Amino acid sequence: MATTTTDPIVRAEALSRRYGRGRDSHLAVDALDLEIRRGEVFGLLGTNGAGKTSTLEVLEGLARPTGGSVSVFGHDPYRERRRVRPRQGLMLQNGGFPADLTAAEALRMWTSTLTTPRPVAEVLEEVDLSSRAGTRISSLSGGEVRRLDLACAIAGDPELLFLDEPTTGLDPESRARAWELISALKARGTTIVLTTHYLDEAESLADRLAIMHQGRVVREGTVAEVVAGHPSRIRVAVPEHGPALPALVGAAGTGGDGRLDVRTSDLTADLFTLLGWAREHGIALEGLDARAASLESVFLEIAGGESPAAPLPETDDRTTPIGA
Amino acid sequence: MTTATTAPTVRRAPRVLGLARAELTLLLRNRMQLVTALLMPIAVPFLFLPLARQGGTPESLAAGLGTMFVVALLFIVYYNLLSTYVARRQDLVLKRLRTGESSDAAVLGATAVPALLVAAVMILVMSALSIPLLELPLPRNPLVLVVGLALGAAVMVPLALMTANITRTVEAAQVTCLPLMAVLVIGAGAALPLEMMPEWFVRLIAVVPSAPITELVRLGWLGIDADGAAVTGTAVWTALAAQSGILLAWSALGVWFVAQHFRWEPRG
Repeated sequence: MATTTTDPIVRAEALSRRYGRGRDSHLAVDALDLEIRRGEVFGLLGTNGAGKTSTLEVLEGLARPTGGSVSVFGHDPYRERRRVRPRQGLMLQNGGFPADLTAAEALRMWTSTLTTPRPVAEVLEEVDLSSRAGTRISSLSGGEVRRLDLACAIAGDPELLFLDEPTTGLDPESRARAWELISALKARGTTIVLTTHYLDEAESLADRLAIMHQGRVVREGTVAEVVAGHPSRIRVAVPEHGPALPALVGAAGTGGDGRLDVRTSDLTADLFTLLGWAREHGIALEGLDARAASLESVFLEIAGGESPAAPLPETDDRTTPIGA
Repeated sequence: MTTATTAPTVRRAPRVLGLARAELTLLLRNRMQLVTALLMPIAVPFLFLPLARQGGTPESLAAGLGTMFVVALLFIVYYNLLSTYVARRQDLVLKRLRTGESSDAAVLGATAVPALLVAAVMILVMSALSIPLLELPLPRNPLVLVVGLALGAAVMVPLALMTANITRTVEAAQVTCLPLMAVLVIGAGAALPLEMMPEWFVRLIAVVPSAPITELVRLGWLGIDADGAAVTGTAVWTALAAQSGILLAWSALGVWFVAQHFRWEPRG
Protein backbone atom coordinates (compact mmCIF):
# COMPACT_ATOMS: atom_id res chain seq x y z
CA MET A 1 0.00 0.00 0.00
CA ALA A 2 2.72 2.43 -0.85
CA THR A 3 1.17 4.48 -3.60
CA THR A 4 -2.09 6.14 -4.49
CA THR A 5 -4.46 3.80 -6.22
CA THR A 6 -8.06 4.21 -7.24
CA ASP A 7 -9.13 1.86 -4.46
CA PRO A 8 -11.54 3.98 -2.34
CA ILE A 9 -11.07 3.70 1.42
CA VAL A 10 -13.78 6.17 2.35
CA ARG A 11 -16.94 6.48 0.35
CA ALA A 12 -19.91 8.71 1.10
CA GLU A 13 -23.04 8.66 -1.02
CA ALA A 14 -25.82 11.25 -0.78
CA LEU A 15 -24.67 11.91 2.75
CA SER A 16 -26.78 14.38 4.67
CA ARG A 17 -26.81 15.53 8.22
CA ARG A 18 -29.56 17.53 9.85
CA TYR A 19 -29.53 19.06 13.30
CA GLY A 20 -32.76 19.51 15.20
CA ARG A 21 -36.26 18.73 14.02
CA GLY A 22 -39.16 20.48 12.35
CA ARG A 23 -38.95 24.18 11.66
CA ASP A 24 -35.81 24.77 13.73
CA SER A 25 -33.84 22.10 11.95
CA HIS A 26 -30.73 22.93 10.04
CA LEU A 27 -29.30 20.95 7.17
CA ALA A 28 -25.55 21.02 7.78
CA VAL A 29 -24.57 18.49 5.12
CA ASP A 30 -26.64 18.23 1.96
CA ALA A 31 -26.46 15.15 -0.28
CA LEU A 32 -22.70 14.96 -0.28
CA ASP A 33 -20.80 12.48 -2.43
CA LEU A 34 -17.18 11.83 -1.64
CA GLU A 35 -14.53 9.27 -2.43
CA ILE A 36 -11.16 9.11 -0.74
CA ARG A 37 -8.59 6.76 -2.21
CA ARG A 38 -5.98 4.66 -0.52
CA GLY A 39 -2.68 6.46 0.03
CA GLU A 40 -3.81 9.96 -0.84
CA VAL A 41 -3.92 13.13 1.21
CA PHE A 42 -7.42 14.53 0.83
CA GLY A 43 -8.07 18.12 1.85
CA LEU A 44 -11.52 19.18 3.00
CA LEU A 45 -11.84 22.94 2.85
CA GLY A 46 -14.62 25.33 3.53
CA THR A 47 -15.63 28.41 5.45
CA ASN A 48 -16.77 28.19 9.05
CA GLY A 49 -20.19 26.57 9.05
CA ALA A 50 -19.72 25.01 5.62
CA GLY A 51 -20.25 21.56 7.13
CA LYS A 52 -16.66 20.28 7.26
CA THR A 53 -16.70 19.13 10.86
CA SER A 54 -20.24 17.74 10.51
CA THR A 55 -19.05 15.71 7.51
CA LEU A 56 -15.86 14.65 9.23
CA GLU A 57 -17.73 13.41 12.30
CA VAL A 58 -19.81 11.11 10.12
CA LEU A 59 -16.77 9.81 8.21
CA GLU A 60 -14.99 9.21 11.52
CA GLY A 61 -17.96 7.23 12.82
CA LEU A 62 -18.61 9.63 15.68
CA ALA A 63 -22.07 10.53 14.42
CA ARG A 64 -24.78 8.84 12.44
CA PRO A 65 -25.76 10.49 9.15
CA THR A 66 -29.37 11.68 8.77
CA GLY A 67 -29.46 10.28 5.27
CA GLY A 68 -27.26 8.56 2.71
CA SER A 69 -24.51 6.08 3.38
CA VAL A 70 -20.87 6.02 4.40
CA SER A 71 -18.42 3.21 4.19
CA VAL A 72 -14.88 3.12 5.55
CA PHE A 73 -12.76 0.07 4.68
CA GLY A 74 -16.05 -1.33 3.43
CA HIS A 75 -17.74 -1.03 6.83
CA ASP A 76 -20.25 1.32 8.39
CA PRO A 77 -17.98 3.47 10.60
CA TYR A 78 -20.74 4.11 13.14
CA ARG A 79 -22.31 0.70 13.58
CA GLU A 80 -19.19 -1.35 12.89
CA ARG A 81 -16.84 0.88 14.85
CA ARG A 82 -15.03 -2.11 16.31
CA ARG A 83 -13.86 -3.08 12.86
CA VAL A 84 -13.00 0.42 11.72
CA ARG A 85 -11.53 2.15 14.78
CA PRO A 86 -8.39 0.00 15.15
CA ARG A 87 -7.38 1.00 11.62
CA GLN A 88 -8.02 4.73 11.88
CA GLY A 89 -6.50 7.57 13.86
CA LEU A 90 -8.11 10.88 14.48
CA MET A 91 -7.05 14.26 15.68
CA LEU A 92 -9.81 16.28 17.23
CA GLN A 93 -9.90 20.04 17.42
CA ASN A 94 -9.89 20.15 21.19
CA GLY A 95 -7.42 18.43 23.53
CA GLY A 96 -9.32 16.23 25.92
CA PHE A 97 -6.54 15.36 28.33
CA PRO A 98 -6.78 15.31 32.13
CA ALA A 99 -4.98 18.47 33.30
CA ASP A 100 -3.10 16.69 36.10
CA LEU A 101 -1.44 14.04 33.96
CA THR A 102 1.93 14.59 32.30
CA ALA A 103 2.25 14.51 28.53
CA ALA A 104 3.77 11.01 28.65
CA GLU A 105 1.12 9.71 31.07
CA ALA A 106 -1.68 11.07 28.93
CA LEU A 107 -0.22 9.46 25.83
CA ARG A 108 0.30 6.19 27.71
CA MET A 109 -3.32 6.28 28.84
CA TRP A 110 -4.36 6.70 25.22
CA THR A 111 -2.08 3.99 23.83
CA SER A 112 -3.36 1.54 26.44
CA THR A 113 -6.67 1.61 24.59
CA LEU A 114 -5.17 0.84 21.16
CA THR A 115 -4.90 -2.48 19.38
CA THR A 116 -1.51 -1.75 17.83
CA PRO A 117 0.13 0.88 20.03
CA ARG A 118 3.52 2.35 19.15
CA PRO A 119 6.03 3.07 21.96
CA VAL A 120 5.15 6.28 23.80
CA ALA A 121 8.70 7.68 23.72
CA GLU A 122 8.96 7.15 19.97
CA VAL A 123 5.69 8.95 19.25
CA LEU A 124 6.58 11.85 21.56
CA GLU A 125 9.88 12.18 19.73
CA GLU A 126 8.08 12.29 16.41
CA VAL A 127 5.96 15.27 17.46
CA ASP A 128 8.95 16.91 19.15
CA LEU A 129 7.57 16.65 22.68
CA SER A 130 10.27 14.47 24.26
CA SER A 131 11.58 17.34 26.33
CA ARG A 132 8.08 17.96 27.69
CA ALA A 133 7.26 14.32 28.48
CA GLY A 134 7.25 14.89 32.24
CA THR A 135 5.31 18.16 32.13
CA ARG A 136 1.71 18.32 33.31
CA ILE A 137 -0.87 18.98 30.60
CA SER A 138 -1.97 22.07 32.52
CA SER A 139 1.50 23.59 31.98
CA LEU A 140 1.75 22.83 28.26
CA SER A 141 1.21 25.59 25.72
CA GLY A 142 -1.69 25.43 23.29
CA GLY A 143 0.65 24.41 20.49
CA GLU A 144 2.15 21.64 22.60
CA VAL A 145 -1.30 20.25 23.37
CA ARG A 146 -2.03 20.28 19.64
CA ARG A 147 1.10 18.22 19.08
CA LEU A 148 0.02 15.80 21.79
CA ASP A 149 -3.30 15.55 19.94
CA LEU A 150 -1.36 14.66 16.83
CA ALA A 151 0.70 12.14 18.81
CA CYS A 152 -2.51 10.37 19.89
CA ALA A 153 -3.78 10.34 16.32
CA ILE A 154 -0.68 8.55 15.02
CA ALA A 155 0.02 6.38 18.09
CA GLY A 156 -1.97 3.43 16.76
CA ASP A 157 -0.10 3.29 13.45
CA PRO A 158 -3.32 3.97 11.54
CA GLU A 159 -3.97 3.21 7.88
CA LEU A 160 -6.42 6.09 7.74
CA LEU A 161 -5.81 9.35 9.54
CA PHE A 162 -8.27 12.19 10.07
CA LEU A 163 -6.63 15.49 10.91
CA ASP A 164 -9.02 18.28 11.86
CA GLU A 165 -7.09 21.54 11.52
CA PRO A 166 -3.81 19.96 12.62
CA THR A 167 -1.69 23.10 12.55
CA THR A 168 -4.10 25.66 13.98
CA GLY A 169 -2.36 27.38 16.89
CA LEU A 170 1.11 26.12 16.02
CA ASP A 171 4.07 28.45 15.65
CA PRO A 172 5.71 28.49 12.19
CA GLU A 173 8.46 26.06 13.20
CA SER A 174 6.07 23.49 14.69
CA ARG A 175 3.88 23.91 11.68
CA ALA A 176 6.76 23.10 9.35
CA ARG A 177 7.50 20.00 11.44
CA ALA A 178 3.88 18.93 11.32
CA TRP A 179 3.99 19.23 7.55
CA GLU A 180 7.11 17.07 7.42
CA LEU A 181 5.43 14.52 9.64
CA ILE A 182 2.31 14.45 7.46
CA SER A 183 4.45 14.01 4.36
CA ALA A 184 6.38 11.19 6.05
CA LEU A 185 3.12 9.46 7.00
CA LYS A 186 1.92 9.77 3.43
CA ALA A 187 5.19 8.26 2.21
CA ARG A 188 4.53 5.31 4.51
CA GLY A 189 1.21 4.80 2.73
CA THR A 190 -1.14 6.36 5.25
CA THR A 191 -4.35 7.76 3.79
CA ILE A 192 -4.94 11.18 5.28
CA VAL A 193 -8.08 13.31 5.41
CA LEU A 194 -7.20 16.85 6.35
CA THR A 195 -9.25 19.92 7.13
CA THR A 196 -7.51 23.23 7.34
CA HIS A 197 -7.99 26.97 7.27
CA TYR A 198 -4.60 27.45 5.67
CA LEU A 199 -4.86 27.27 1.91
CA ASP A 200 -1.10 27.00 1.48
CA GLU A 201 -1.26 23.93 3.70
CA ALA A 202 -3.87 22.32 1.49
CA GLU A 203 -1.96 23.35 -1.63
CA SER A 204 1.31 21.81 -0.54
CA LEU A 205 -0.02 18.70 1.22
CA ALA A 206 -3.23 17.60 -0.47
CA ASP A 207 -3.26 15.36 -3.54
CA ARG A 208 -6.91 16.11 -4.01
CA LEU A 209 -9.28 18.43 -2.26
CA ALA A 210 -12.91 19.35 -1.95
CA ILE A 211 -14.25 22.78 -1.13
CA MET A 212 -17.49 22.77 0.82
CA HIS A 213 -20.00 25.57 0.92
CA GLN A 214 -23.37 25.47 2.65
CA GLY A 215 -23.25 21.73 3.15
CA ARG A 216 -22.28 20.82 -0.39
CA VAL A 217 -19.06 20.09 -2.22
CA VAL A 218 -18.81 22.89 -4.77
CA ARG A 219 -15.35 22.05 -6.16
CA GLU A 220 -13.39 18.85 -6.08
CA GLY A 221 -10.18 17.54 -7.62
CA THR A 222 -6.46 18.28 -7.65
CA VAL A 223 -5.42 21.87 -7.00
CA ALA A 224 -4.88 22.34 -10.74
CA GLU A 225 -8.33 20.91 -11.50
CA VAL A 226 -10.03 23.08 -8.90
CA VAL A 227 -8.29 26.20 -10.12
CA ALA A 228 -8.85 25.34 -13.79
CA GLY A 229 -11.69 27.29 -15.31
CA HIS A 230 -11.47 29.91 -12.64
CA PRO A 231 -10.84 33.43 -13.97
CA SER A 232 -7.64 35.32 -13.35
CA ARG A 233 -8.05 38.84 -12.15
CA ILE A 234 -6.60 42.23 -12.99
CA ARG A 235 -7.31 45.21 -10.80
CA VAL A 236 -6.05 48.71 -11.49
CA ALA A 237 -6.97 52.35 -10.92
CA VAL A 238 -7.71 54.14 -14.23
CA PRO A 239 -8.57 57.84 -14.68
CA GLU A 240 -12.31 58.44 -14.45
CA HIS A 241 -12.69 60.38 -17.69
CA GLY A 242 -9.89 58.77 -19.61
CA PRO A 243 -10.01 57.13 -23.00
CA ALA A 244 -12.27 54.17 -23.64
CA LEU A 245 -10.94 50.79 -22.58
CA PRO A 246 -9.59 48.47 -25.23
CA ALA A 247 -11.40 45.22 -26.08
CA LEU A 248 -10.45 42.49 -23.61
CA VAL A 249 -10.89 38.72 -23.50
CA GLY A 250 -12.32 38.95 -19.99
CA ALA A 251 -15.18 40.97 -18.57
CA ALA A 252 -14.37 44.39 -17.19
CA GLY A 253 -16.28 45.90 -14.29
CA THR A 254 -15.82 48.31 -11.46
CA GLY A 255 -14.84 46.93 -8.10
CA GLY A 256 -16.08 48.11 -4.72
CA ASP A 257 -13.10 50.46 -4.38
CA GLY A 258 -13.84 52.12 -7.72
CA ARG A 259 -10.97 50.39 -9.47
CA LEU A 260 -11.22 48.59 -12.76
CA ASP A 261 -11.76 44.91 -12.13
CA VAL A 262 -11.19 42.48 -15.00
CA ARG A 263 -11.94 38.76 -14.77
CA THR A 264 -10.33 36.87 -17.56
CA SER A 265 -9.48 33.43 -18.80
CA ASP A 266 -6.43 34.85 -20.56
CA LEU A 267 -4.38 36.85 -18.12
CA THR A 268 -1.36 37.28 -20.41
CA ALA A 269 -3.33 38.62 -23.37
CA ASP A 270 -5.46 41.02 -21.37
CA LEU A 271 -2.54 42.30 -19.34
CA PHE A 272 -0.60 42.89 -22.52
CA THR A 273 -3.57 44.76 -24.07
CA LEU A 274 -4.02 46.91 -20.98
CA LEU A 275 -0.33 47.79 -20.74
CA GLY A 276 -0.23 48.71 -24.42
CA TRP A 277 -3.36 50.84 -24.01
CA ALA A 278 -1.88 52.62 -21.01
CA ARG A 279 1.35 53.34 -22.83
CA GLU A 280 -0.43 54.56 -25.92
CA HIS A 281 -2.47 57.07 -23.88
CA GLY A 282 0.29 57.93 -21.46
CA ILE A 283 -1.68 56.63 -18.48
CA ALA A 284 0.07 55.51 -15.32
CA LEU A 285 -1.56 52.28 -14.15
CA GLU A 286 -1.65 52.89 -10.42
CA GLY A 287 -1.95 49.99 -8.03
CA LEU A 288 -1.83 47.44 -10.83
CA ASP A 289 -2.52 44.02 -9.43
CA ALA A 290 -2.64 41.00 -11.71
CA ARG A 291 -3.27 37.56 -10.29
CA ALA A 292 -3.46 34.17 -11.86
CA ALA A 293 -6.27 32.05 -10.49
CA SER A 294 -5.16 30.31 -7.30
CA LEU A 295 -6.74 28.12 -4.69
CA GLU A 296 -7.05 31.24 -2.59
CA SER A 297 -8.95 33.18 -5.24
CA VAL A 298 -11.27 30.23 -5.87
CA PHE A 299 -11.83 29.81 -2.16
CA LEU A 300 -12.48 33.48 -1.51
CA GLU A 301 -14.95 33.67 -4.35
CA ILE A 302 -16.83 30.66 -3.01
CA ALA A 303 -16.71 32.01 0.53
CA GLY A 304 -18.00 35.38 -0.71
CA GLY A 305 -20.91 33.53 -2.30
CA GLU A 306 -20.20 34.98 -5.75
CA SER A 307 -21.60 32.46 -8.21
CA PRO A 308 -19.60 29.55 -6.86
CA ALA A 309 -20.25 27.15 -9.71
CA ALA A 310 -19.70 29.45 -12.66
CA PRO A 311 -16.32 28.86 -14.23
CA LEU A 312 -15.62 30.59 -17.54
CA PRO A 313 -16.65 28.65 -20.64
CA GLU A 314 -13.23 28.81 -22.35
CA THR A 315 -10.97 25.91 -21.55
CA ASP A 316 -7.87 26.70 -23.58
CA ASP A 317 -4.84 28.79 -22.72
CA ARG A 318 -5.09 28.10 -19.03
CA THR A 319 -3.11 30.09 -16.53
CA THR A 320 -1.15 28.02 -14.09
CA PRO A 321 -1.84 28.32 -10.39
CA ILE A 322 0.62 30.14 -8.23
CA GLY A 323 2.50 27.82 -5.95
CA ALA A 324 2.59 28.24 -2.17
CA MET B 1 -2.47 -5.49 10.02
CA THR B 2 -4.12 -8.91 10.10
CA THR B 3 -2.79 -9.60 13.59
CA ALA B 4 -4.73 -6.58 14.81
CA THR B 5 -8.09 -8.17 14.18
CA THR B 6 -7.30 -11.44 15.92
CA ALA B 7 -6.06 -9.92 19.16
CA PRO B 8 -9.03 -8.15 20.80
CA THR B 9 -9.48 -10.73 23.54
CA VAL B 10 -5.82 -10.37 24.54
CA ARG B 11 -6.06 -6.58 24.65
CA ARG B 12 -9.33 -6.40 26.53
CA ALA B 13 -8.01 -6.42 30.09
CA PRO B 14 -5.08 -4.02 29.55
CA ARG B 15 -7.43 -1.59 27.82
CA VAL B 16 -9.42 -1.09 31.01
CA LEU B 17 -6.33 -1.31 33.19
CA GLY B 18 -4.48 1.41 31.29
CA LEU B 19 -7.37 3.81 31.77
CA ALA B 20 -7.81 2.75 35.39
CA ARG B 21 -4.11 3.32 36.05
CA ALA B 22 -4.31 6.87 34.71
CA GLU B 23 -7.42 7.42 36.85
CA LEU B 24 -5.58 6.18 39.94
CA THR B 25 -2.70 8.57 39.21
CA LEU B 26 -5.20 11.40 38.99
CA LEU B 27 -6.91 10.38 42.22
CA LEU B 28 -3.57 10.33 44.05
CA ARG B 29 -2.81 13.83 42.71
CA ASN B 30 -6.15 15.30 43.73
CA ARG B 31 -5.75 16.09 47.41
CA MET B 32 -9.38 17.01 48.02
CA GLN B 33 -10.68 13.79 46.53
CA LEU B 34 -8.07 11.76 48.35
CA VAL B 35 -9.00 13.26 51.71
CA THR B 36 -12.68 12.59 51.07
CA ALA B 37 -11.91 9.02 50.09
CA LEU B 38 -9.45 8.17 52.85
CA LEU B 39 -10.19 10.27 55.92
CA MET B 40 -13.98 10.27 55.86
CA PRO B 41 -14.39 6.51 56.17
CA ILE B 42 -11.85 6.37 59.00
CA ALA B 43 -13.64 9.15 60.82
CA VAL B 44 -17.05 7.53 60.56
CA PRO B 45 -16.61 4.74 63.19
CA PHE B 46 -15.50 7.36 65.68
CA LEU B 47 -18.78 9.21 65.18
CA PHE B 48 -20.55 6.15 66.53
CA LEU B 49 -18.26 5.92 69.51
CA PRO B 50 -20.51 7.95 71.88
CA LEU B 51 -23.40 5.62 71.02
CA ALA B 52 -21.33 2.58 71.92
CA ARG B 53 -19.97 4.22 75.08
CA GLN B 54 -23.51 4.76 76.33
CA GLY B 55 -23.52 1.01 76.82
CA GLY B 56 -25.65 0.16 73.81
CA THR B 57 -25.94 -3.49 72.83
CA PRO B 58 -24.69 -4.57 69.41
CA GLU B 59 -28.36 -4.70 68.39
CA SER B 60 -28.86 -1.04 69.17
CA LEU B 61 -25.84 -0.33 67.01
CA ALA B 62 -27.28 -2.40 64.17
CA ALA B 63 -28.92 0.48 62.35
CA GLY B 64 -25.91 2.65 62.93
CA LEU B 65 -23.59 0.08 61.43
CA GLY B 66 -25.53 0.05 58.14
CA THR B 67 -25.58 3.84 58.06
CA MET B 68 -21.84 3.88 58.62
CA PHE B 69 -21.17 1.81 55.52
CA VAL B 70 -23.74 3.66 53.43
CA VAL B 71 -22.11 6.98 54.32
CA ALA B 72 -18.69 5.54 53.49
CA LEU B 73 -19.90 4.31 50.10
CA LEU B 74 -21.53 7.67 49.43
CA PHE B 75 -18.28 9.52 49.99
CA ILE B 76 -15.76 7.09 48.53
CA VAL B 77 -17.72 5.90 45.54
CA TYR B 78 -20.71 8.13 44.82
CA TYR B 79 -19.42 11.63 45.52
CA ASN B 80 -15.89 10.84 44.41
CA LEU B 81 -17.02 9.40 41.08
CA LEU B 82 -19.55 12.15 40.52
CA SER B 83 -16.74 14.74 40.72
CA THR B 84 -14.48 12.59 38.58
CA TYR B 85 -16.99 12.01 35.78
CA VAL B 86 -17.91 15.70 35.69
CA ALA B 87 -14.23 16.73 35.64
CA ARG B 88 -13.42 14.29 32.83
CA ARG B 89 -16.38 15.52 30.84
CA GLN B 90 -15.38 19.17 31.37
CA ASP B 91 -11.83 18.42 30.21
CA LEU B 92 -13.29 16.60 27.15
CA VAL B 93 -11.50 13.43 28.23
CA LEU B 94 -14.67 11.37 27.89
CA LYS B 95 -15.26 12.79 24.42
CA ARG B 96 -11.72 11.90 23.37
CA LEU B 97 -11.81 8.38 24.78
CA ARG B 98 -15.09 7.80 22.99
CA THR B 99 -13.43 8.51 19.66
CA GLY B 100 -10.98 5.67 20.23
CA GLU B 101 -11.25 1.93 20.35
CA SER B 102 -12.64 1.59 23.87
CA SER B 103 -16.32 0.83 24.29
CA ASP B 104 -18.50 3.27 26.21
CA ALA B 105 -18.75 0.81 29.07
CA ALA B 106 -14.97 0.39 29.23
CA VAL B 107 -14.42 4.15 29.40
CA LEU B 108 -16.93 4.71 32.21
CA GLY B 109 -16.12 1.46 33.98
CA ALA B 110 -12.36 2.03 34.01
CA THR B 111 -12.90 5.43 35.60
CA ALA B 112 -14.75 3.74 38.46
CA VAL B 113 -12.05 1.16 39.18
CA PRO B 114 -9.82 3.23 41.51
CA ALA B 115 -12.79 4.43 43.58
CA LEU B 116 -14.06 0.86 43.94
CA LEU B 117 -10.59 -0.35 44.96
CA VAL B 118 -10.29 2.42 47.55
CA ALA B 119 -13.78 1.51 48.77
CA ALA B 120 -12.78 -2.13 49.23
CA VAL B 121 -9.64 -1.23 51.17
CA MET B 122 -11.33 1.42 53.28
CA ILE B 123 -14.26 -0.81 54.17
CA LEU B 124 -11.79 -3.40 55.43
CA VAL B 125 -10.01 -0.72 57.46
CA MET B 126 -13.33 0.59 58.81
CA SER B 127 -14.46 -2.88 59.78
CA ALA B 128 -11.14 -3.64 61.46
CA LEU B 129 -11.40 -0.39 63.40
CA SER B 130 -15.03 -0.89 64.34
CA ILE B 131 -14.70 -4.30 65.95
CA PRO B 132 -12.51 -3.18 68.89
CA LEU B 133 -13.78 0.39 68.94
CA LEU B 134 -17.49 -0.37 69.01
CA GLU B 135 -17.07 -3.77 70.70
CA LEU B 136 -18.69 -5.62 67.84
CA PRO B 137 -18.68 -9.39 67.37
CA LEU B 138 -17.12 -10.97 64.28
CA PRO B 139 -19.47 -11.06 61.26
CA ARG B 140 -21.94 -13.98 61.43
CA ASN B 141 -22.50 -14.38 57.66
CA PRO B 142 -19.42 -12.86 55.99
CA LEU B 143 -20.66 -13.78 52.49
CA VAL B 144 -23.88 -11.82 53.00
CA LEU B 145 -21.85 -8.85 54.23
CA VAL B 146 -19.50 -8.98 51.24
CA VAL B 147 -22.33 -9.33 48.71
CA GLY B 148 -24.23 -6.47 50.31
CA LEU B 149 -21.25 -4.11 50.28
CA ALA B 150 -20.07 -5.15 46.81
CA LEU B 151 -23.51 -4.61 45.26
CA GLY B 152 -23.89 -1.45 47.31
CA ALA B 153 -20.61 -0.09 45.94
CA ALA B 154 -21.55 -1.13 42.40
CA VAL B 155 -24.95 0.60 42.47
CA MET B 156 -23.22 3.88 43.39
CA VAL B 157 -21.51 3.97 39.96
CA PRO B 158 -24.66 4.39 37.79
CA LEU B 159 -26.10 6.67 40.47
CA ALA B 160 -23.01 8.89 40.16
CA LEU B 161 -23.30 8.83 36.35
CA MET B 162 -26.97 9.77 36.48
CA THR B 163 -26.23 12.65 38.84
CA ALA B 164 -23.42 13.76 36.50
CA ASN B 165 -26.11 14.43 33.88
CA ILE B 166 -27.52 17.27 35.99
CA THR B 167 -24.11 18.54 37.12
CA ARG B 168 -22.37 21.11 34.96
CA THR B 169 -19.19 21.67 36.96
CA VAL B 170 -17.15 19.98 39.66
CA GLU B 171 -18.17 22.75 42.05
CA ALA B 172 -21.85 22.14 41.30
CA ALA B 173 -21.37 18.51 42.37
CA GLN B 174 -21.26 19.70 45.97
CA VAL B 175 -24.92 20.66 45.59
CA THR B 176 -26.24 18.12 43.11
CA CYS B 177 -25.01 15.24 45.27
CA LEU B 178 -27.17 16.33 48.20
CA PRO B 179 -30.65 15.03 47.23
CA LEU B 180 -29.47 11.48 46.65
CA MET B 181 -27.24 11.54 49.72
CA ALA B 182 -30.20 12.70 51.85
CA VAL B 183 -32.49 10.01 50.44
CA LEU B 184 -29.88 7.29 50.95
CA VAL B 185 -29.16 8.36 54.53
CA ILE B 186 -32.90 8.27 55.23
CA GLY B 187 -33.03 4.89 53.49
CA ALA B 188 -30.29 3.61 55.77
CA GLY B 189 -32.79 4.10 58.56
CA ALA B 190 -30.82 6.31 60.88
CA ALA B 191 -32.02 9.79 59.99
CA LEU B 192 -35.73 9.38 60.70
CA PRO B 193 -37.47 7.28 63.33
CA LEU B 194 -39.10 4.89 60.89
CA GLU B 195 -41.38 3.35 63.56
CA MET B 196 -43.14 6.71 63.78
CA MET B 197 -43.69 6.98 60.02
CA PRO B 198 -46.79 5.86 58.10
CA GLU B 199 -46.82 2.40 56.59
CA TRP B 200 -46.56 3.54 52.93
CA PHE B 201 -43.51 5.62 53.76
CA VAL B 202 -41.75 2.70 55.38
CA ARG B 203 -42.48 0.53 52.35
CA LEU B 204 -41.16 3.19 50.01
CA ILE B 205 -38.01 3.61 52.06
CA ALA B 206 -37.40 -0.13 51.96
CA VAL B 207 -36.66 0.01 48.22
CA VAL B 208 -34.29 2.98 48.38
CA PRO B 209 -30.88 1.53 47.38
CA SER B 210 -29.39 2.11 50.83
CA ALA B 211 -32.10 0.11 52.60
CA PRO B 212 -30.99 -3.27 51.23
CA ILE B 213 -27.35 -2.34 51.94
CA THR B 214 -28.26 -1.71 55.58
CA GLU B 215 -30.32 -4.91 55.72
CA LEU B 216 -27.49 -7.02 54.31
CA VAL B 217 -24.87 -5.43 56.58
CA ARG B 218 -27.05 -6.12 59.63
CA LEU B 219 -27.85 -9.64 58.50
CA GLY B 220 -24.27 -10.38 57.51
CA TRP B 221 -22.66 -8.96 60.59
CA LEU B 222 -25.15 -9.55 63.40
CA GLY B 223 -27.44 -12.17 61.88
CA ILE B 224 -30.59 -10.24 62.89
CA ASP B 225 -33.43 -8.45 61.11
CA ALA B 226 -34.66 -4.90 61.60
CA ASP B 227 -36.63 -5.88 64.70
CA GLY B 228 -33.62 -7.54 66.29
CA ALA B 229 -34.89 -11.11 65.78
CA ALA B 230 -32.27 -13.70 64.84
CA VAL B 231 -32.34 -14.89 61.22
CA THR B 232 -30.96 -18.35 60.53
CA GLY B 233 -30.95 -21.19 58.00
CA THR B 234 -32.66 -20.74 54.65
CA ALA B 235 -34.20 -17.45 55.81
CA VAL B 236 -30.73 -15.92 55.45
CA TRP B 237 -30.56 -16.88 51.78
CA THR B 238 -34.10 -15.77 51.08
CA ALA B 239 -33.34 -12.38 52.60
CA LEU B 240 -30.05 -12.20 50.69
CA ALA B 241 -31.83 -12.91 47.39
CA ALA B 242 -34.61 -10.38 48.05
CA GLN B 243 -32.29 -7.56 49.12
CA SER B 244 -29.76 -8.28 46.37
CA GLY B 245 -32.66 -8.22 43.93
CA ILE B 246 -33.46 -4.62 44.89
CA LEU B 247 -29.81 -3.59 44.42
CA LEU B 248 -29.54 -5.41 41.09
CA ALA B 249 -32.77 -3.81 39.90
CA TRP B 250 -31.42 -0.34 40.73
CA SER B 251 -28.13 -1.15 39.01
CA ALA B 252 -29.92 -2.39 35.88
CA LEU B 253 -32.17 0.66 35.82
CA GLY B 254 -29.16 2.94 36.26
CA VAL B 255 -27.12 1.23 33.56
CA TRP B 256 -30.06 1.39 31.17
CA PHE B 257 -30.51 5.11 31.84
CA VAL B 258 -26.80 5.82 31.44
CA ALA B 259 -26.61 3.86 28.18
CA GLN B 260 -29.51 5.90 26.80
CA HIS B 261 -29.03 9.35 28.21
CA PHE B 262 -25.50 9.90 29.51
CA ARG B 263 -24.03 13.29 28.57
CA TRP B 264 -20.56 12.73 27.13
CA GLU B 265 -19.84 16.35 26.34
CA PRO B 266 -20.22 19.58 28.28
CA ARG B 267 -23.31 21.60 27.47
CA GLY B 268 -22.55 24.28 24.89
